[in-house]
Amino acid sequence: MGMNNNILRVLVILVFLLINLLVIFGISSLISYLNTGADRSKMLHTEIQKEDQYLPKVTWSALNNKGKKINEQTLLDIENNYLDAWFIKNVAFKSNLIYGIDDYFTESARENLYNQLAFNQEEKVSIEGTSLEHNLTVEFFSEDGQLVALTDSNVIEYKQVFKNEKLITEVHEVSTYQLILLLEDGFWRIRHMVRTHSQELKKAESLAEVNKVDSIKGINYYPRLSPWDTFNESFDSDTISADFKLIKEAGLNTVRVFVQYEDFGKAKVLPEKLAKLKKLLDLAEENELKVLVTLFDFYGDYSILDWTLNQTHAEKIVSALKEHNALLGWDIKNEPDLDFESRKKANVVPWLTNMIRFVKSIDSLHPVTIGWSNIESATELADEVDFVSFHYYLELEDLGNLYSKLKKEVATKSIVLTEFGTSSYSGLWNFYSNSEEDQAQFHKEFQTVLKQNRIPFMSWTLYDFNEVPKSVTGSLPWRRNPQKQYGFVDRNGLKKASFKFISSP
Amino acid sequence: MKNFALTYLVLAVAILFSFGESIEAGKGIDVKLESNKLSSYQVGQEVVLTFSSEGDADLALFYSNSYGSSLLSSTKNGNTVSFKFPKFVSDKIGTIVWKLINQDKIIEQGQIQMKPSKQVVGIETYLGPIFMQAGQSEYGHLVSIPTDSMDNPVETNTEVLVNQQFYSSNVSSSVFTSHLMSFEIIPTKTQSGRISINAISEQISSKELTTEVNATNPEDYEIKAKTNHPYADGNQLATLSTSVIKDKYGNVVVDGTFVKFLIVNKNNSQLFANGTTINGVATAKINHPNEADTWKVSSYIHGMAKSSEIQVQFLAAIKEYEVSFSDSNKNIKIGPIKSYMNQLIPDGLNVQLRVIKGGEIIYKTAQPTSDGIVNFVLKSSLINKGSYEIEVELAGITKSYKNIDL
Repeated sequence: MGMNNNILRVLVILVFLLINLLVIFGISSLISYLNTGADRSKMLHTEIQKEDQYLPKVTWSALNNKGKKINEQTLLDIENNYLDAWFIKNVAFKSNLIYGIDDYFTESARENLYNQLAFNQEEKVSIEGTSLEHNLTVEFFSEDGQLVALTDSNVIEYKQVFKNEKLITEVHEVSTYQLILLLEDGFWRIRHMVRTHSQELKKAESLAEVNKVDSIKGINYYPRLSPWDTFNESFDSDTISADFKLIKEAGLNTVRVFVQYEDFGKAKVLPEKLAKLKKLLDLAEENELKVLVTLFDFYGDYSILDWTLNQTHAEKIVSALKEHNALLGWDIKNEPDLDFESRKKANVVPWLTNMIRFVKSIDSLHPVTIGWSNIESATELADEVDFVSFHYYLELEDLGNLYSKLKKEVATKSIVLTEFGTSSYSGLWNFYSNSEEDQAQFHKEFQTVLKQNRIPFMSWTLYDFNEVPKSVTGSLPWRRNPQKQYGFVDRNGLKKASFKFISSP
Repeated sequence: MKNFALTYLVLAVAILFSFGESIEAGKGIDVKLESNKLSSYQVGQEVVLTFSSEGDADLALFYSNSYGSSLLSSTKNGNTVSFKFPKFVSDKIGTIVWKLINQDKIIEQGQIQMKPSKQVVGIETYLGPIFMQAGQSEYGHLVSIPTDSMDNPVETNTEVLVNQQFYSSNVSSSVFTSHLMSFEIIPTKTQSGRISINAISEQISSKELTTEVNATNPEDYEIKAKTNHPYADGNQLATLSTSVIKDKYGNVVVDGTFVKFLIVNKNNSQLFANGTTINGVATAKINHPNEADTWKVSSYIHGMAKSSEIQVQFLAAIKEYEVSFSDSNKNIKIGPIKSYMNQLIPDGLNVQLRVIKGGEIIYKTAQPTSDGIVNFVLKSSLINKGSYEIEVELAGITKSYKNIDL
């Protein structure tokens, strides 16, 4: 009895202490919060905040206009205001609200938009759209600098049409507009806008030599110490060069690398990141490897008003690398089919279609593909890509049949398996059922099947990793832990048993 | 309330079912466009697309034109389905793209050209710049956009007659619209004045527009100085003025042209005065000096023109004055100071007093005159006892008194 009382006493005291601690902690955090005060640098709102929100590709034709000679600064002002007008118009048609239209359309011109928007509101129609390319020509610029006549030819527009919030159709239009803009209150405003003709969007032409992908023997690559973050501060040429040498000597000829959308600075591609990517390709060239660059990793918005920003991102990267000898081609996005549910297939597929067309329009010489997460999805957009690529983590025995089936379905295209592999993880979460020997055996058998079916391949991945970001696998340990041990080389840099079968059975 | 909810529910379910049915019926639909796929209409005409269709299809028509896009729902009449474009769409020139949609699929598509009208109802004009310099090189633009009753630019190659009136001359010229508008060059004149302009198309005239021709850069000019008397009394104002400043075509410069006068005095100090032109003449006023002086006056219009240099002479107004010591030399009275006609000088002439010992100024002070007199009182707290030299200066005349005991 006395014993019990003592335990009770101790417990009561402990609880009392704990409550006190919590109260003190709460009060102290409140006090420290109240003591933080305002940030001096933000007091006067002097910081300039300009977020790029609409960046379709704009080309100006050589200046040869009637009237006054136009200078670069005026041209830039016109371009900014004109694109803002399109952006405001797109936003208005999405929401059927008229905010901002009066800044970019003159009093008479805005009536035309108001009428249409009122009609759409009544009919419960909304249009989510964007313009993707503008080709502007100055036709006339007045001597007083207050009026400009433009032609905007082959404007590529994409629209999704909704009625009662249900997607009815999607439309691609390529149109030519004649425009008159007036400088009013410091804004270049649209006074007259006439679409003179419109045509269907043609597929981007590709001159890529696709058969070279048939000889791919490759591997997905992250440095050992910076998985899913190749281009961070620890980017080291020597490490990568040594890795590439290892890959080359193992009998492989290609690596697949990943460019993360946000990490690379979204629409404002960071020059230092781009320089690192270029360096990686240089090192690949030195080691006689080709590189399949996967774009838009970790990107998942796909909203139509984001498209122009995505395009700008892609344009900067693609045009910087398109003449590189080590470049094999472009993987537009890694496993986008996994976003079909959460982001809706109706958003993802048009995004991919457009991005394929866009990348081809910048670089018609390198083949474009999409790294589908499974073989069933690989027929998606097969007409658009230059070669089909998919990932395979299912039963090996089915691969042969599924591959022949896919081959029939996409008869004209080469097919590359761009991810496969298995983990050597052996632990609590899989009841110690795996081992490095099992992994080696898996690769041996897999390579046999690949050889039999002559499937070009890229395995997952060179190294075991100490850490895997949560954004890749989620935080569940039975998912995370195995992902750390897919490598052919362990985290200490020692070759695992599977390394023997990295390029052949 | 509950009843309402129930009714809505039933209604919603009914709509859902009917929708489902129509989708069923729409399968394998055979739709034929009655009119031409590529057709053109005069702007303002009613535009109706009619399709013959078997069965009970659920059709919608997407369209887009210069300003926007939307979806039209159909009107059924037996085996024909028609779509009427809203007036604000058929009232605008340019290309309408349409796509017929059945069950989320585009089953037919085409374009309609809304042709611009020939009927001019109004004429938009933009003239600029509204000021030009006289000469041969400058010009303005008159942009005219003849429009129809629905605010569309009329068809290309519409003639616009431009009239320009300048004094007694009247010039007319014809321009033709292209790219929605027409423009005419309005050259400047060598004579300053106002050009009145209007544009006429199909008997519709714009309002009167004007642009002003102003004198171009001024040529060099003359200046003169006017004084009421030649004495350096520090009180009267001398007036500096220019001749009528003109450009090389003889046009008087615009009012408000800024003219700067530069005066260099006998000590090589520079004085400035400035004025702006009225009817080509700029004037500036400046005080006479306090002491005899000869001014070299010149003038310029910054970066454009300058005048010749003139000299202005000022005679001494004060020739002599008296200094008297009292109160053991502590009180020094100067004056009464008299001017050129023996009149007391106007108040405010500055008189300087210096106390010097061994060639070093140990105390100095200054006071303006009042009623022709200045009284200096030297406080013993400021100056030690001893013998000093006292110097008085006014209007450029210095008087010195040695061995004054203070």
